[in-house]
Amino acid sequence: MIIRVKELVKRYGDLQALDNLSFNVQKGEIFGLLGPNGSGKTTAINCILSLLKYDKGEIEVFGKPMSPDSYSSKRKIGVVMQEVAVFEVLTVRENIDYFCGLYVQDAERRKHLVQEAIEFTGLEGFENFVPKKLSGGLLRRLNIACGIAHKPELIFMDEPTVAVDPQSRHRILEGICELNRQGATIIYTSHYMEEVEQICSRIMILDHGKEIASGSKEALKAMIDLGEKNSFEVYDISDEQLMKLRNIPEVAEVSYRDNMLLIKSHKGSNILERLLSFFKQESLPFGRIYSEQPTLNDVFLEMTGRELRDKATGQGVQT
Amino acid sequence: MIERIFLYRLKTILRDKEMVFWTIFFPILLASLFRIAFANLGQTAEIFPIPTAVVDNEAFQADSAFREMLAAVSVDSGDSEALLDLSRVSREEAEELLLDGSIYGFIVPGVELQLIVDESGLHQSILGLLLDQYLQTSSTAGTVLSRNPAAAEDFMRELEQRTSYIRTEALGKNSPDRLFVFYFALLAMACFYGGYYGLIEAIDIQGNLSPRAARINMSPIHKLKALLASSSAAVCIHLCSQMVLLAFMHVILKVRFGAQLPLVILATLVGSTLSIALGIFIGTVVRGSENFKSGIVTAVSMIGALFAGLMLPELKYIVSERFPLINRINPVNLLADAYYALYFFEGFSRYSQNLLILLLFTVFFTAASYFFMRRRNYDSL
Repeated sequence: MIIRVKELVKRYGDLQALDNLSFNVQKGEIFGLLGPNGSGKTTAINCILSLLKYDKGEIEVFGKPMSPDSYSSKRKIGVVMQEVAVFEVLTVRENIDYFCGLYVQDAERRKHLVQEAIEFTGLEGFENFVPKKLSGGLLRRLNIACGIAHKPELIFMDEPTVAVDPQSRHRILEGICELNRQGATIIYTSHYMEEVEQICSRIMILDHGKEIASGSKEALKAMIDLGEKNSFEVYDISDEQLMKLRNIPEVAEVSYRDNMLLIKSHKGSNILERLLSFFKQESLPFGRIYSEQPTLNDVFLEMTGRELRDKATGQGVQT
Repeated sequence: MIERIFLYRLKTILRDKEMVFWTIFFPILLASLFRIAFANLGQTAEIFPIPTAVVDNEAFQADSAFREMLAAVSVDSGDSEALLDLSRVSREEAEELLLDGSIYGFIVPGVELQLIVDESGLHQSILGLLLDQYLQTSSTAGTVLSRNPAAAEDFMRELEQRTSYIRTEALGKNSPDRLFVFYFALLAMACFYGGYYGLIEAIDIQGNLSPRAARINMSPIHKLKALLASSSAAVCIHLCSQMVLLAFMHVILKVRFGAQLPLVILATLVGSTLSIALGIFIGTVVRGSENFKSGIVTAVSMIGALFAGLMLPELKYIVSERFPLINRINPVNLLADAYYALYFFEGFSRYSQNLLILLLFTVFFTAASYFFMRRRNYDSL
């Protein structure tokens, strides 16, 4: 076991940022912490890294209690923070060399590692650029390179793809999987459910500092009642027809908005064929059809009654 | 690891163009402006010789003793400079000269010796004292001669052999120069711009103040060692920038720092170290945004320099007289005064005293910063 967190409590005044949070991370995992902004993901990471004091609980990393002086553990950890943390006046290569040098003293080895990090993050050709000359995506990649150049065994990645273009995001996510294939254990936080679904082997959903659910994405989806979701492009449908749809036993929910008819079914039922028959029977014309499986957002929605991408983003304490 | 942090800190400081401008080029620019604006300011500190006129009338021609006395105090002698820059003129001319400010006063010889001035001041008082002394001496001689003519010979001999029992000693080795008060205050102010370097050191090492610092805190390096390495780099750069300013003042602006250049450099080193310690202290202890803290550093250096005589040299003396404590705790004044002491005073006691207080401040700010900074994790980020 690489990380053990037991009954972690962190308060900011009256606000309970972490509420008896417990979890373990096994070697070789990509462990995802998923939750809306303010759910406690970053707070949990900062407590694990001994940057933040906490009120109660136990934290062990590499089998040892974690403290600010745990230099032997820190040597094996890499951190990619939410905010870009580099020196504005140093070049890409110098920045990576500086942060790598906090871990690796041997100059030859460091030179090799810096070059590897540049190649790994696709920053070739930008080595002599200063950060302000880089695009948002390249800047994020530099941020990652600074965090992983020393080849850590355990990597914390806190929302590394915020404000990143799709191309860079794809490259970053691929890179994370590659690091994992090379043996690194990764703790990945995000409020982008697609990313977490794509790369994480195990996921913990957080809300208000509490664990809502955890497990593989399949296991999480199995926890809810929702089955597949079918959307039809329909230009005209009567209230009576909508009522008939709602009366189909496998249908869990029907909504019609902006010419899109969304029909959610109960878990385990495959009703697309049944719905097509209904449209034929009612002589109801339709255009495009979409069918999708439940997402982690649906899991979050069903468990908390709120969307994962909450409109109230930014309320409360930013953690 | 430590030396790498030191070297990278040197790089980051030297590449920060804004910082380089404010800490190196701005003081040079300001010194040049002072030079242009106050080029003739130094002359105002010269007291002697005092431009004076004497009315060349019958009484003046008749009083040979008085003429000789005036002639004696109007020429440089071996061990003293001339007291008066004397013009012999008519009464009308004398009045004109006084009106247009060419002289501080004029003397009208007669039965009663008159001194005509149009305002009171140091120069006028000196003229008054000179005439009083002459009148007292001549009156004493008259009394002695009228009561005991036989004693005339002894009295005259005694006058010739009059011994001064008060030894006059120059207060300073150089003449006071108000312009130098500006320059020394400017040099001290520039030195305390080092506070900006210290502020950055504090922000870059405390995990709750910047993401970069958080990243360094998460690495396996003791943060106080990292702080020591980067602060040493800041002191080096800052000391070099002060040396550039010092050289500019000395070579281009002809500012004299006395003969003890190593002591000037020592004072600058102490000032640089203190300014960076002060910046770290402000960055560590004061709560608020970076801009707010930066404002405090600016205020300390600017207000401190103002009280040390920048802009208005008289303010330094007013503060010294009325609020002496302020000048004793104003680090900018202490440093400026240390420079001035090296330039003006013979001994080193005043210089040493200033430096000692500056060192005590350095120790205090360093210890206080350490006390607040030693916490290794934070309540919030």
